[in-house]
Amino acid sequence: MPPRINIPPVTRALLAALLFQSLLSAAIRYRQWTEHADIVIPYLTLVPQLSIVYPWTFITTTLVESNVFTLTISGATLYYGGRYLERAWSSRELAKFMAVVALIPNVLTFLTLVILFTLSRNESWTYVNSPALTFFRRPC
Amino acid sequence: MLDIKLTELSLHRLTIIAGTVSVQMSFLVAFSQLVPAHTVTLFRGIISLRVPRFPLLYLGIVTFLSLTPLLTSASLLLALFGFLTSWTYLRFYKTVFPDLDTSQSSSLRGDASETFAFAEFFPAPVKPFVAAFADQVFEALVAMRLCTPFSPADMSAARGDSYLQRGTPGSARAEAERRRAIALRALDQRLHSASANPSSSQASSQPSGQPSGQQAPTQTATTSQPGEMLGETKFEPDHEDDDTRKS
Repeated sequence: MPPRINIPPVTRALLAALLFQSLLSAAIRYRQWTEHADIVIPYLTLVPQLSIVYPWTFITTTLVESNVFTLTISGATLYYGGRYLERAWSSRELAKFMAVVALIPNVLTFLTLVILFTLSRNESWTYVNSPALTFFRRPC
Repeated sequence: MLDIKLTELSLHRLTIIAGTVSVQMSFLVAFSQLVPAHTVTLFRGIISLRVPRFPLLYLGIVTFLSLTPLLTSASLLLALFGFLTSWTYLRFYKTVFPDLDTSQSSSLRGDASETFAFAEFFPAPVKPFVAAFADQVFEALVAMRLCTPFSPADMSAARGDSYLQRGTPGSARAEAERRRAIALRALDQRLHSASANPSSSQASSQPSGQPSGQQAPTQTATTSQPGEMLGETKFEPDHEDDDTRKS
């Protein structure tokens, strides 16, 4: 008997979307890679100043992971947690919960970063790391 | 291509808001709601933690990692807002399904049980302060008419005391329990009788495979030797008779 894939439907869709979007983001960054720049993808991930014109990124960015380590952790979390919760609640409830939890924190984080940027009047709040750690990244 | 090489812009090193950090945090909060008394042991028993401790622990880990290049400051904000959002949704807005036995309407929203209060996520020393603060916030929101206050009926329903409200659901549940026990006993007896006669499975497969198998035991009971079980027949006489009957 072939092994049955025992993953409920919503969890299956989420895992597939995670894998697909992360691979897409990695492929885009690979194609566009240069020595002296950081690549951002405003239509797939949520970039504070650039993604306003792409409103779907508020949802799609939750399932984009940029390195393999966090990708495996996310995959494991979604698999085990999603399976358990989909059985405890129904599929519809899990889908609603995921929509709420993906959308609202993204919006709030976006607003927080934009507000902090406006208040501090420079881009240091939207930097990836604090200025003390800049030697980890290559300067542009 | 629309993605932008940042040397062309004056802004560089923009924080990208991405990742499943908020989803992971919300799963931890959901587990705290579903199994609040569960204890998880890590590192072979050195650390044993109750499940409601995990959200704050995860928040601490993300805080630490956001100082390294592994995670961004956006992840820290995502984790924090994920914690608040998931707790608020589960506490106040999620529809909860009542037990199927009761005839309660499914208009119950949120989970008002005491074990899911906000202060339960914090360790014991700081819990009273957090509880006082959370109560103040809740009363302020109620005064602003954003939240409805919890009634005692909500809290007892969340605890599962449905028998307090009506008498019949309690007896209906006892009735269901009794029926389940009887069914289990019948199943047990059937299993015992099946395992006590190992040849009965072989005998039953032959007559059941043939369409006229029901007539065979009555016809051949007088001619063949009686088997261990009633209805067990020898193979060869049935085979010829049934073949002619089939064609």
